[in-house]
Amino acid sequence: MPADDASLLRAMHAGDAAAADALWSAHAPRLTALVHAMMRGAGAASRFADDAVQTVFLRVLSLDPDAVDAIRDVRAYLTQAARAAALNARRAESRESARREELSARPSGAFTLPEGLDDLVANLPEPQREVVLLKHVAGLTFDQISLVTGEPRATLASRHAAALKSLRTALQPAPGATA
Amino acid sequence: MTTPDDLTPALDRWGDHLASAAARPMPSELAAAVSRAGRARNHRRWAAPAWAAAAIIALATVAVTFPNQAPRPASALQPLSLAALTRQASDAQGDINAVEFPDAPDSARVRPEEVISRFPPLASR
Repeated sequence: MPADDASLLRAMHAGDAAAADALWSAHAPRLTALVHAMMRGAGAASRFADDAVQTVFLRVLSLDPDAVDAIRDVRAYLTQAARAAALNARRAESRESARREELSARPSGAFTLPEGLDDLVANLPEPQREVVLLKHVAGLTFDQISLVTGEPRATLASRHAAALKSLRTALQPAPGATA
Repeated sequence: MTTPDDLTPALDRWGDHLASAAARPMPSELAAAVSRAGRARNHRRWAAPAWAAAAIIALATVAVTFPNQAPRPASALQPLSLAALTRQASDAQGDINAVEFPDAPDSARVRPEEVISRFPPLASR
């Protein structure tokens, strides 16, 4: 619940280790998975995702108490910060794409989606892919995604519907194929 | 095989799978930072009262050590009598009479007695 998260966030900011642990357990896994998925193809994505999420939490500690009190939706706030970190890192990655090409060919590690959805999601157009990741990996509602991206809820819902349509089409068995 | 009909739950399960695979204990660096934040907050909480207490103690020490230097309350001030006021006015008049302006021209000179005569003492009004 956002209200509980806000209390935990304030307690963590005040130095409560138990609150910090609870907040970490509640949000860090999905944030890490989101950053990792957004960084897909980067050689050091897994390590970067861990570091990025930790940095997001550390930045909360450096906020003024008034700024912490002003955070209403903790999940959306943390996701917005993690997304920004991933986008910045991805831009840096693109500048070194040639050098990383060899690394990107490595297996992506433990994160694999069974039955081919993994690659299908990865091949979606970027705006659709981001909505799918924010909704299903970060676990946000459309309202929260709107807070994170700054785009209208209706636009996001439309993109999500388009993404699902593309995935469904790709999953349709080819005519004449046997089950 | 994932079919189009169960795509949304499959994506949700995918997200759950990624999150559970990414779960890690809270890093020790973050735990240390939280601890530091708590100590800093406690320091801020007690710093201001400590300074205020030190200031109060210092003022009290000064007041006890130098009691005659402390300002007297307004109630301790006694009003001057009319005789005392008259005496002070007379002294002031003597001071004025003693003032000389040797460089001033005669036409510009005004004798102090003339000035004082225009402003009789309060007691005579």
